[in-house]
Amino acid sequence: MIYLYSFLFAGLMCLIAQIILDNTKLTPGHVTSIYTIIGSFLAYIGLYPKIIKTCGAGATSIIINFGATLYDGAYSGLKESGLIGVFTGMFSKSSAIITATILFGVLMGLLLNPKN
Amino acid sequence: MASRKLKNIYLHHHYAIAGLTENNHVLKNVLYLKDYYCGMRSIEECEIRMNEIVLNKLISDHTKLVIGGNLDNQLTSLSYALANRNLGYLGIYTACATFVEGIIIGANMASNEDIIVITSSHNLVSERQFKYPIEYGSPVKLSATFTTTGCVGAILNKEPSKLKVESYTIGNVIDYNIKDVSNMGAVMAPSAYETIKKHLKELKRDISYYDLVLTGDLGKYGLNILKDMFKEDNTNTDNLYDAGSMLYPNDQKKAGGSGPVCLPLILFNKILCKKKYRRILIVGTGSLHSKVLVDQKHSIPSISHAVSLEVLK
Repeated sequence: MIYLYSFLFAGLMCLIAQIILDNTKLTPGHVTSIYTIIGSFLAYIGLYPKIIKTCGAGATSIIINFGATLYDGAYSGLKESGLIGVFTGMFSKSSAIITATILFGVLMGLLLNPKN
Repeated sequence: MASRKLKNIYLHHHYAIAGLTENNHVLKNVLYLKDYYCGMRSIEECEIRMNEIVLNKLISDHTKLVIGGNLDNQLTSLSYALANRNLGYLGIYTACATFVEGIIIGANMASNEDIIVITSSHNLVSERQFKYPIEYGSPVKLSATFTTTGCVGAILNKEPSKLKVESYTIGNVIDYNIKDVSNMGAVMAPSAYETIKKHLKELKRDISYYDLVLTGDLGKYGLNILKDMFKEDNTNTDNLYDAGSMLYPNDQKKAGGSGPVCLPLILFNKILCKKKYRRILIVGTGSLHSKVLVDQKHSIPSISHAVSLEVLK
């Protein structure tokens, strides 16, 4: 069942993003930012961990999860070392995502040229 | 006065390069590129290379001046192509009206020596310049025109040939408060309308005087807007065509071609090959925006210049 939920959740989020892109002036940059903020908000109200439990990789592989991990990192930082922990902890859990993005971006830039 | 009749100004042979998307049996006698790089390291270098190839074909001992421009920052692709060539150079910019502006300036300076009027555009370069770099993957709207890749140069002087530059009209900058970068046809149609009206009024002609009125790069939707504007003053628009909307006839996803190279490509490599029309009015339409000002929510001004050509027998 988790496979089906995973497919449905990630597919639904991508569908909404596509509808936004097709019908507004927003660019992919805007949409990913909006999704990140939504992810942080869902983590704040405690909903996102439940979604991850039911949908598995369908919930962890999309950009909303990045917002949720930002919130998680900042919150555990706050608990450990107070206000300064928000700043030091913000990227602690999402550092793998950021490093991977930069690394693969550089790799693709080195290997391939943009075509039309 | 912004309109003027000319005596003894002629356009001679030309040379044209087009990209691979334009290789769809519309154009004749064009050198097509095989990719967006033509053997160079970057897209900008490719555009410089295109300018160099065209210049090498056109420059002779009689050449004294090159007038031209393109859509790059600081007109780099032409400036770099002209380095150390011992030729006078006037760089001009009115976006997609550049070629027509080049003919107007050249016609006022013409002598028995050759003046080369040249323009180029590159799809990926102008996507980066005016919208988003292609790597960003921003979706394209159906009303958006597709910047043509290519480079066209032509020789202008006073020696008689079969193509006479008969008169011209310099346009005004028009701003109808349109802010949509994806709808350049709507931005430029009003300026094309104003310039054609001005040309006909100042030279006391009717639109039926011309066998063909060819606008630059309005695209399908822009051409419809222009036709509607003429319909309101009961002007017949049967002879009104748009170069941009002729360029990709089988591609429903593109509203048409755009870029300064669009008009000369269609004029030299399609219209004049047919030998069907005698009096032709070409109207270069340019949108004069920058990405910075569009991001600051400013509207987009536009300009059109018209040149009347006569095909002699």
